Amino acid sequence: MDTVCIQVRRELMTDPKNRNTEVLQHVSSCKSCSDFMQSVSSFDSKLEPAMRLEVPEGLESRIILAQRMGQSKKAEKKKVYDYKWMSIAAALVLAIGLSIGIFKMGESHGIEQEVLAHIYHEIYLLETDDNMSLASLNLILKQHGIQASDTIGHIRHAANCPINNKSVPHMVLDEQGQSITVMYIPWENTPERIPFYDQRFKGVKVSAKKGSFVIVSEDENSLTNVERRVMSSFETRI
Amino acid sequence: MNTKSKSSQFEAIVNAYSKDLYRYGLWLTKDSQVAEDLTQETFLRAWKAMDSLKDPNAVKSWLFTIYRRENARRFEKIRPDTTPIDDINIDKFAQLEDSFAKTEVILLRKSLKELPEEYLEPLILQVLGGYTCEEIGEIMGIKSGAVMTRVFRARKKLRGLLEGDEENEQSEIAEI
Repeated sequence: MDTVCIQVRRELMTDPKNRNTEVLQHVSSCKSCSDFMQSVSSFDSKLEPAMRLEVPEGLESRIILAQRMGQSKKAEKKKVYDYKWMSIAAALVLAIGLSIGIFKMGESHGIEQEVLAHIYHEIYLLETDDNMSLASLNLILKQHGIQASDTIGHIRHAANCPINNKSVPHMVLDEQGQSITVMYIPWENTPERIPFYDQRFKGVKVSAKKGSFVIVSEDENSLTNVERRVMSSFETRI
Repeated sequence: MNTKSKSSQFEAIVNAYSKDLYRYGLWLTKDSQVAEDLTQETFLRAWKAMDSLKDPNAVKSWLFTIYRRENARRFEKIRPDTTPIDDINIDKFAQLEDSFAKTEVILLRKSLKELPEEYLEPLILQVLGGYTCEEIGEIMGIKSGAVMTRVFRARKKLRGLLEGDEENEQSEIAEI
């Protein structure tokens, strides 16, 4: 191998896609370097799929959600400073909104956003089915002062999870093959039923005797059915 | 730029580049959670600075530069007790059906994991990011000549690892 061959091969190994005229000229007259160029190209074509590691499902949604949550936190801070102006503006917007009926459903905020973020964080749970017994679920719920009855139905998963740095029961219920997330938030008081949504999920925050349940589903019908099941299954100890 | 168009532009950028950024991060950190956190942090910083981005064609390089900086910041907070973990699943791939191709990918991933980081990073930026040596130099803050040396050595080392049993081919590379 002469020095030109070595130089050409170095260039090919440095950037197989960027071939300059000198390299191409040499390769056209040197069988050995031509074969080498082929083998470098073939090697690089295998390199790219090898580098394409699996990406966790829902990555994009979690990034967009985090950005929106950041925006809403920023808006909350601003609201404290501009309280008077915001109150006037809110009253005005509310009056207009109510008159044209646009406040039937709102984008998620507050505890609902925390729950959605947690669901995205543990998105794999929607594919999990541990088929938990009612007794196991009630062991978890007991720590939070509530108990479920057997009308709760098929329990795919239940565990204590952190929301706002506090441990809360996180349940995944089955509704005709769909996974529905239910979280009990003992400190959250909800005077009325509050629906919310994001790009993927629909949810509702409903009042319990003490605290609230946040129920989240990808499907509207399943959400309604599970809401009914939750309201009939849970007893709270005040 | 109004908030609505900024949001839709942001979503388009997330959809276009988040996967490659995550993969780049996973190769660098070997930790899927860290790679995802850094991806998220990168995009949040990008969102905040989007108004200052003058050249839309530079978005991708800009994101990789932010990611790199965010990764470096991790080491400012020294955590001596953390145990290094390895989350790179060398045998997990969605699009390959052919079992021969799968075996090749597994072997390549094993070899890539053995590459020193200084060789691996510019190679990933070149193959996965599609950057030239000059652009990689800008992202990494090194001269393009140094990038050329590193990607050359990365390929040489990889081929040496993979083709160690093919004596002719190996000696051919060894001479370069």
